[in-house]
Amino acid sequence: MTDRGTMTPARAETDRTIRVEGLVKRYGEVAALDGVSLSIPAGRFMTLLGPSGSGKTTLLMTIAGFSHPDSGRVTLGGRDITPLPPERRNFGMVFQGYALFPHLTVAGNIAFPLKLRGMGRAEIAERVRRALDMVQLGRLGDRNPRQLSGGQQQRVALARALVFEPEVLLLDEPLSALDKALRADLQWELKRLHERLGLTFVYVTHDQEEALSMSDEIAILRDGRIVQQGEPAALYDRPATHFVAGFLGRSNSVEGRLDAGGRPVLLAGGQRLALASHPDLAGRAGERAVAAIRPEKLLILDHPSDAARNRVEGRLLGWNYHGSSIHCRIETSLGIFQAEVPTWQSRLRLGEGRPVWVEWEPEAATLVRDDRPERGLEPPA
Amino acid sequence: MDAPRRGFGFAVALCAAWLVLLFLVLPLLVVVPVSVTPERYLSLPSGTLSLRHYEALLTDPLWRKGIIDSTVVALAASALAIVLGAACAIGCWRIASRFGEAVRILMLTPMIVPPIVHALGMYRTWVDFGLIDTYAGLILAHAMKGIPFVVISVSAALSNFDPRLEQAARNLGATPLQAVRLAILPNIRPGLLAGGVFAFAISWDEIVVALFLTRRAVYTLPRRIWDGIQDNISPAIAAIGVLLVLGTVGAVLLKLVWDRRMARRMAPAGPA
Repeated sequence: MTDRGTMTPARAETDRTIRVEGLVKRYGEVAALDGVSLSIPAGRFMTLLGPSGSGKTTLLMTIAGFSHPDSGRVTLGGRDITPLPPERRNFGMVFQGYALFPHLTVAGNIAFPLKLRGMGRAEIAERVRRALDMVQLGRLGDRNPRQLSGGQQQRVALARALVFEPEVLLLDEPLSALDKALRADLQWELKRLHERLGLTFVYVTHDQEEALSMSDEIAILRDGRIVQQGEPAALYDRPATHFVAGFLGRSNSVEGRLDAGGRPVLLAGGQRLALASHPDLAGRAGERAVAAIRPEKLLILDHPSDAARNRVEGRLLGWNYHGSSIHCRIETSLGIFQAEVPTWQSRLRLGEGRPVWVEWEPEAATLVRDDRPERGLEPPA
Repeated sequence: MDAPRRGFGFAVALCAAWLVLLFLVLPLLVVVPVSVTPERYLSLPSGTLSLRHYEALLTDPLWRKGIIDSTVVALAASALAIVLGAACAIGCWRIASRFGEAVRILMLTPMIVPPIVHALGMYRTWVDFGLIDTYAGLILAHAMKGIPFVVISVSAALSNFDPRLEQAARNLGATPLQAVRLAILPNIRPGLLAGGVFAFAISWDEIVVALFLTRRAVYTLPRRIWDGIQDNISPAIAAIGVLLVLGTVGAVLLKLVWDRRMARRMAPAGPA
């Protein structure tokens, strides 16, 4: 049942990379996928992250074989699988809402792909038992799926998707229906499972925390295009665009003009804000630019410090207590800043309208491409 | 349950409800005493009761043929209607476009066209194909009458069917046909059954098409009743009426028992 037998000998047996090349899919006027190219090496935990309508699910469905692209192709290990129907791709999939067959028991659900592969009764029983053990549902085989809790259903879906030993596991928002505590547990379990099985995981989610905590690599989609792709930490620390900075975590943005001087400086609101030097900045003096700064990288102080940081004076507009941190809103000449101050080290005296100083290291700011649809009116978010 | 408030308005409504119920049921019940009359003509029994008309149903070859032919034709026609109607409904659901919607509406025309016009049209065509007074001819015609009901009930069942179940089946290795058989059909079984029951009842009850398309070789029960009323009004007609009513009540009771058993089986075992 594997595709290996049909591979040409010229290609390496080990190369099982999934490549998506120039996918376009239109529904009438709307482009769900607008030229998406992506390479997913074997064994990678790849997350497709984006807001709803960004095309991430269409991309997953195209890899699974349910959606047929208008142009572009999907290859596995160099072989074009675009025309292959889903049943011949041998990809496991966990659907949103799990899609367990309500007319079959838990064991019947897991045996489904094995029966289709013509396996013998004894072997099916053995594999179903092992699959149930793998997801710690050993004694629930004869239950009806509707009698199970959401977390248990999720595990059954996982067991069913893995029991026939697919080489890729596709997951479509598998945790979105679960409550927060359970979601955190299952994130750990999924990640451990990925490490143990060494399978390629392609994971679709709109939850940025989930994406950051689980993935080897994240591709961020917006309006049918991949905006940025990379390791979680790289994406978080160096977002390429204003959208990525705001979508992957929260972010403040400062708009200004790059200075022609020796050290890189952003001129904004009559201030000279130092930036970390970066090869990209060469020859861009005079250009408009937007810097993104994470809320937790801001220091909020009662009095300006003597350290060599960027600083701006402001007024405390309000704050929310979040247990481990306090989220503050501060009005400054550069716009409204959002800051996250760790509760345990905060000596900040809170009070509405109090004057405060906002400070940050030059390295804390990242220049991003301004991809806002309309600029100027909205405050820096 | 809360006890209903028993005011004057409630009493009036209750009375009205009972009257409507009696209005619906009484004419049916009249056939019961008539069917046990000892006389040879339609009458209420005076003094003695007799089961001779029930006996006649079993011994009279024409009544027997009527019952057997109706059973055969209704079973075959409803089976054919289920297969074709379900195929149409699933196909329309699958393509999910305006074209599918148009096909679905077109499939309902046998319900909309006046039966006599439909029967006349069939007669003309069936003559050309040599299907007059054959089992195949009547089964085909009755299946056409039943298909709309199957299309409606299966389409209704499919509107509650999660299309991801079909995708899951395909993803797990099922061909499109296997996905229909293994994932879709088992989950729309109530719709299939309901449509089949309707198709069976339509055929079992059908007289207009039967009058046009059959003579002697195929002789359904409604046809026998019709002929019985035309030449001599025998109380055997009342007897068959009682049997049909009992059969229907029995089927409904069976269905209720079945539903209760299914509900118990599907109920969560614990606080899941």
